[in-house]
Amino acid sequence: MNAVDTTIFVIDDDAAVCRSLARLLHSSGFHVETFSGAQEFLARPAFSGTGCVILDVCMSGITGPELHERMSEDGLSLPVIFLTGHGDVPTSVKAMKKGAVDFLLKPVDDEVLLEAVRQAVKRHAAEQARERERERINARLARLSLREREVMEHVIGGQLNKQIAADLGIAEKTVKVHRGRLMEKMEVGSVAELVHLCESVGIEPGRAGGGDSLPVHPLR
Amino acid sequence: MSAILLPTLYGLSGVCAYAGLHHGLIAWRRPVERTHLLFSLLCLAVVWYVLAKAGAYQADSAQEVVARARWMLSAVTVFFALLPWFVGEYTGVRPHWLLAGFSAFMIVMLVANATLPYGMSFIELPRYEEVTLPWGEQVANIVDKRSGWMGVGRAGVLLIFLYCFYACVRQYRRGRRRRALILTLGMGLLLVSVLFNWVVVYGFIRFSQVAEFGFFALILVMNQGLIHELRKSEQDVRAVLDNVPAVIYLKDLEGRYIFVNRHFENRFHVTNATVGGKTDYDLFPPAQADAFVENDRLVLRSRTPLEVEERADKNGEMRVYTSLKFPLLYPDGMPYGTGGVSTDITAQRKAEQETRRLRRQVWHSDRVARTGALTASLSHELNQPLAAILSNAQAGLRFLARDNPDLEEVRAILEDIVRDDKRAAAVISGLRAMVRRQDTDTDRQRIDLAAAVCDILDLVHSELLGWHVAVETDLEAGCPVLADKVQIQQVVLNLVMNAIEAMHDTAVEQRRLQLAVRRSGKETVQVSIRDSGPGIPAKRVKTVFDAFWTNKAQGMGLGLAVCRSIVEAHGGSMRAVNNDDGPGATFFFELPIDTGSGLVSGAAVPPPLEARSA
Repeated sequence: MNAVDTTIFVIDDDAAVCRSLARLLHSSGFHVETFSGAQEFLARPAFSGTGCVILDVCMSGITGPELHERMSEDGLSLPVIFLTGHGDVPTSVKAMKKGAVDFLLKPVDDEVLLEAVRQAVKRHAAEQARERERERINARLARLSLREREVMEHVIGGQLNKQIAADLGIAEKTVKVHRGRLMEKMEVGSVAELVHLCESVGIEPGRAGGGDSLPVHPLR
Repeated sequence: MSAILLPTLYGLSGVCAYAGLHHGLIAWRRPVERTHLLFSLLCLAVVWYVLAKAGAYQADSAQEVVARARWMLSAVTVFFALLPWFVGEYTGVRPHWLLAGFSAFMIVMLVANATLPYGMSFIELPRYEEVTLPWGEQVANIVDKRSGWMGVGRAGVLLIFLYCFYACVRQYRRGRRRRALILTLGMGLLLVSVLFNWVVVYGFIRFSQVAEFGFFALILVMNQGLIHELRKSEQDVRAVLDNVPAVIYLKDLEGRYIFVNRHFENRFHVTNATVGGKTDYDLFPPAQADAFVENDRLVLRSRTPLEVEERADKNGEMRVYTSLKFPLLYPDGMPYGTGGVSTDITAQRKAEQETRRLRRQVWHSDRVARTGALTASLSHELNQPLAAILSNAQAGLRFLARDNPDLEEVRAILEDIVRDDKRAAAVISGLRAMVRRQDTDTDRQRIDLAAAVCDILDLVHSELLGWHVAVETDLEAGCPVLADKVQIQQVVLNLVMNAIEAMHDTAVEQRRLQLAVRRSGKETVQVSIRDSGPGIPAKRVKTVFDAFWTNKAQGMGLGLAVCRSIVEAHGGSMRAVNNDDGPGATFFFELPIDTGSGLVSGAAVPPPLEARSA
């Protein structure tokens, strides 16, 4: 996964450390950007690619953990690997709780660091893929009319056309038409596929009216 | 003829002799108090007098009467020579010139009595006659013929009586009424009998002289008084002994108990009645008894008191005592037993241990805190270049592993590595410089190395005790060095503490610390600190002074590095070896001797000592 389009951000106020880490990562095929402090990193234009951040804990000015917090407040989803000179358990626990992917001790062995970076990048890539998928589905959902949306929520609830018609107070034939159209707009071939899509973006099945609906959906 | 007078005299003289011996014995045991000795002598004088008088009563001729009366009067003069001294001792009213005067007077009388042809009593050979006593007993008449010497003697005796009553009054006024009254009673009875005697002598009543009964009365009354006082003082002593919050005991030469106080009785569940004849082995477990017996033996051998710490079980709980053991000696210095006063110091000991533990804790945490702060900053300072070096080197390896290694890149990497390594070295030398800077900041003084080392031993005294480390020192005085005393002591302290800690796992009886300060050359003095711990691991002997090497869980390995820096800053050297002739290691450091040409002027240069070969 040493794709050239991934970028590793190294943030350390020690120039020598920064440079050596950059070299190491570069030698393994990563694209690296180095920053001598948190301010410099925050000033950088928003980054939309895949990557991760290697962050020194002890930095003058804004410290590593403080920057990490700032990043999550700003909605920056880049995974963070902490580097520190001395293993300080409380700090590391706090960092891990706040979502750091790893906490490594300096001097760090290349294999350990690279493995951590690979894992972080992989995780970031997967997250980004999921995000993109969600966006695509949302775009399709946006094309549905209100009625089609309503029918869809009933369909994923496992209701039969007849039940949907009764619930919405429309003809069964009309339901069939809506149903055909929404399947087409959502670009799915089966109800199972539709249910899967809706689940991934968090759409709940519609409230079933009357007492004769199927009580439990197999996927619930 | 019914014999009453003579048997009575013999009987009473027997009683007097008994009292004399009794008080003589008491006087022998308590030589400080002369009252009993004087009283004993008085008793014997009375016995002498009465026996002589009994002889005179039985005389068959005038010559015999004269001879026996001479003996009799000798006894009386001796009695009156002694009496003022006894009264003086008994009442504490002792005008020595007066007492000496009385004695001198009586000695003159004694000499006169011995040299006059018919003794003091008779001017000429008396006519032999017998008197019949009221109950029909016939005895020789020994009434003297009013010789001038007797008149002088009687005057002297009257003066002695005056002094005695004066002493009684003085004593009464001082508040010792009982004593005063007893003496007054005794002296009164004696005076009455003496006066009666004179009445007989001067012919107012035809009767025999019976002054002896007055003497008996005095002896009996005083005997009662003295014995009573003795018992009382024994009671006083006993009360003190019983109420002292310590265990007190007396044993004979074979270690058998003679006396124990109430504290002892309660604590070890014996009584004075049952403890007699028992030894330590009957009361204590063998190991403890062995220790007690050994201490007693030491006391007997040295015949001087001994202060030791002893341990004894009490209801299964081990208690610690501080015991003062002393020999019981006869006046001639021969021992007849041992005594001891043991105070339970278990609680104090516990408190001391607690204090020591706390002090050690504080000391340790202080050290940890100080080194801890240093560790944090140092580890950051050192970690940065080390991290850079590692990453650079590993990156370099990766570059080189490529098909077309970019040598320019590798060169840049190597340059970075060199720079970062120098940076790490600078951190270390900065640390050393810090130590050196402290040197130049403080004034170096001429100090005696042995004295400085001694101070440290005092400082770690409780540490040594707590760890049960035996210390041997060989400190050669008069080795002056020009040094910062505090720093040198830091080095010694560090080495001593290391030595103590090194012996942590050594058996208690084998923990030995040897400290020596010796001249090792004409101009150098060597300090050595030797422990009996496990020694330095063989492969570490050479690197033991390197920074950041330690075999202590808590340590960070700076102590010895700093020590060496200090010693080197003083122009000395330091080394460590494992002992050839036993377990453990020895640390040496050597400093140049200050020859006196240094900074401190006016300091006395100790006389040069013979240089020893190292």
